Amino acid sequence: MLRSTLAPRFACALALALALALAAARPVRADTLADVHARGELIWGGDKQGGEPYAFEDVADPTRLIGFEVEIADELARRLGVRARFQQYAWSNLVPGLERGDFDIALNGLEATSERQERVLLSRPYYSYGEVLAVKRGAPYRSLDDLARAGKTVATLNQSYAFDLLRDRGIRAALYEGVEEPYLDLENGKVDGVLLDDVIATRYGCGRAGVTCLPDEVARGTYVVLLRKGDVALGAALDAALAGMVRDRTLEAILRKWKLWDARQESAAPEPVHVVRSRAFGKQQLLLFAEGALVTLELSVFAFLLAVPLGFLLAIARVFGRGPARIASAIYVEIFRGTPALLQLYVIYFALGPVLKLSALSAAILGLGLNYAAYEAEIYRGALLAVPRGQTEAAHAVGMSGWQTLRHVLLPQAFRIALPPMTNDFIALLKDSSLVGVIAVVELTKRMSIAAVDLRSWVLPGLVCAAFYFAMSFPLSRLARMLEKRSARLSGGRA
Amino acid sequence: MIRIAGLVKRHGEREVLAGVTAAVARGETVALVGRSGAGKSTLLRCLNHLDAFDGGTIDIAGFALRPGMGRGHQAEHRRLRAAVGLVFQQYHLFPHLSAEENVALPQREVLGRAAADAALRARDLLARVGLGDRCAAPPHQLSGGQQQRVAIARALALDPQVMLFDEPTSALDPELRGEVCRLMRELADGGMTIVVVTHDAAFADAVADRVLVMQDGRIADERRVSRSALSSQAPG
Repeated sequence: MLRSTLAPRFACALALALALALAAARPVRADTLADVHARGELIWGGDKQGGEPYAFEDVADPTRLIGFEVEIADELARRLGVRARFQQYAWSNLVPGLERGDFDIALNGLEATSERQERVLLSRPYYSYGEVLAVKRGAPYRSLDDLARAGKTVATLNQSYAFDLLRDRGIRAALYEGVEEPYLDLENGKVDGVLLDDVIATRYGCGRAGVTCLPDEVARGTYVVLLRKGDVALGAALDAALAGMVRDRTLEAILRKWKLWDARQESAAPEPVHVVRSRAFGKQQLLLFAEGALVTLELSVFAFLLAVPLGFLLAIARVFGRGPARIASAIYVEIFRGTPALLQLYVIYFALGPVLKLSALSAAILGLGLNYAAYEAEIYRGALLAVPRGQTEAAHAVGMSGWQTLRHVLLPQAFRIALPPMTNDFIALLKDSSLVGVIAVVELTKRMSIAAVDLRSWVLPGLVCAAFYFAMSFPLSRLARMLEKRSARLSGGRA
Repeated sequence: MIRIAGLVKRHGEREVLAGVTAAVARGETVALVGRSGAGKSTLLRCLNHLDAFDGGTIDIAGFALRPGMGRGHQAEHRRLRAAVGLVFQQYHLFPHLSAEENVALPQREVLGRAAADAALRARDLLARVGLGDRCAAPPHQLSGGQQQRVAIARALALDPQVMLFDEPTSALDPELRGEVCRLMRELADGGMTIVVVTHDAAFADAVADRVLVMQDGRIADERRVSRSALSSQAPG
């Protein structure tokens, strides 16, 4: 637990750590082309979670990576006289990863945008895509504007150009990390539209029974290879290699093989699409953070309101129940404590979601609540067992029944024992609630990661985010300390 | 009031009570003495069925206790425990309740008394044991002797016919023994039937009409305390 006296020192240490991280993130390096030749390897960053047809694990042999971008990377490396090596990376962090120097190039369905052009070097395009809008079958919407007018929510990938398009038009966006989940949620009615490029849409969306893809493309753009700003020589080499692949139709062959060749590829590639984002951390951003903090608080409070009574029932079953109830309670606790909360959230949202028809927020509350119930159950069980045996005997000796003993003697005393650890648990829950960012709930931590990409820096968003968490948890940790003292005082005189 | 016949209780192979036979008349005060492990406290706990037993019979305050009485007899056991009060060696007051609430709660829950009546009776009993001004105090603010008197009041509040005391002097300062002795004699004078377990022979002689000596789970000896001895002995 964070002690009050440590608070200022903690804040300083955090700021220092962030500053050091920032310094480390900007290494000075010579031209990467020389490195690539010396190494004999071109390291390219991508995310296997992007799935078919980009770069993904072969179902027949999961150790083998396949996809049209794997073939393009291999071909580019071959033309540079080296081998290609894949580096797995979270897609939404590919640009910071590139800047950090974790790989030489990023090649993974990355759109050419004016914003990226300012930040990194773009190669010539290797693919032209169209943004495709999908709606639920039978829905009346025919365009993005229809959805905007109706105030509907549209799903897309975090850090994608589609997200910028939605933001430009003031449409509420639900952000995902995987390509299949947005369409699942469209079918389940959790979102009203999905805007993603045609490669994803045709493979993951348009074939679904409950999904209709609108025929007119919303926008057109290109995929490019991203390089670090200074890597002009490597960029020129890659552009030459790409030009060669276009000329001798190697690129066409690869795209045809993956059923990606269409009329768009033969028309002139469009310029990098224009994206304007505010880069100042102003009042607007602060309001968004406050909104995120509210979501975090709402999540935590409701999840806790679910966890407390459920944990209580589990503890009662475990301590006083007979055979089956006791075993069922023990199994519940062990399963929910023994598996990652993240996995539980995925199961509840994506596996049970279609059956239960839960919104992202309700699924998050349910998931966290069920998970924390297991921990609460253990606290209450410990607290019930911590009440001295003599108390039960004394209650029985004055003729009180089992229920009366529980209600008037055990529970009031167990509650006092349980209150400080419960408060600590709630503080932990506040922070654990950041897990639900994976199921399209924009709470405080997710807000920070979005802002960090927008502002091109993690420092300020990180500090603001930390400040919000701290402002919420610090008073609670003081409260827990107070309750601990009170509890110690009360039990001090117990015979 | 109490008739015990051939009482047997086992802990595994060991017979803690190996055929105890004894009787206590209405209004009589009986002390159980003997070395630790002789079975005194176990016998006491059998008398209000806090412990079940394996053989023999107990008839107490109109209740017939037999071996193997389980869950089906819970309601009966609760009535029995109201009629046969037990004061623990460590008192076991409810630490989250005031002295008054400790005495009032069982009345409301077990006898179904109205809250106002229970509170009135609690204050009355606490005044009788000399704690009229400590009604609002939580147990941890009371001395050991005061806690014991709250525990006595808690048992008395259910209007028992029999009172059982487990080692009432063991946790008290010597100068307080006289007080608890006086309190118990007051109860006896009021017609209460009392069984007290003690390892303190002088206290047993001071408080009891009759002393039963237990050894190896049996009554080994019995001696009557003369009235004159009783009155001449300065307790404590």
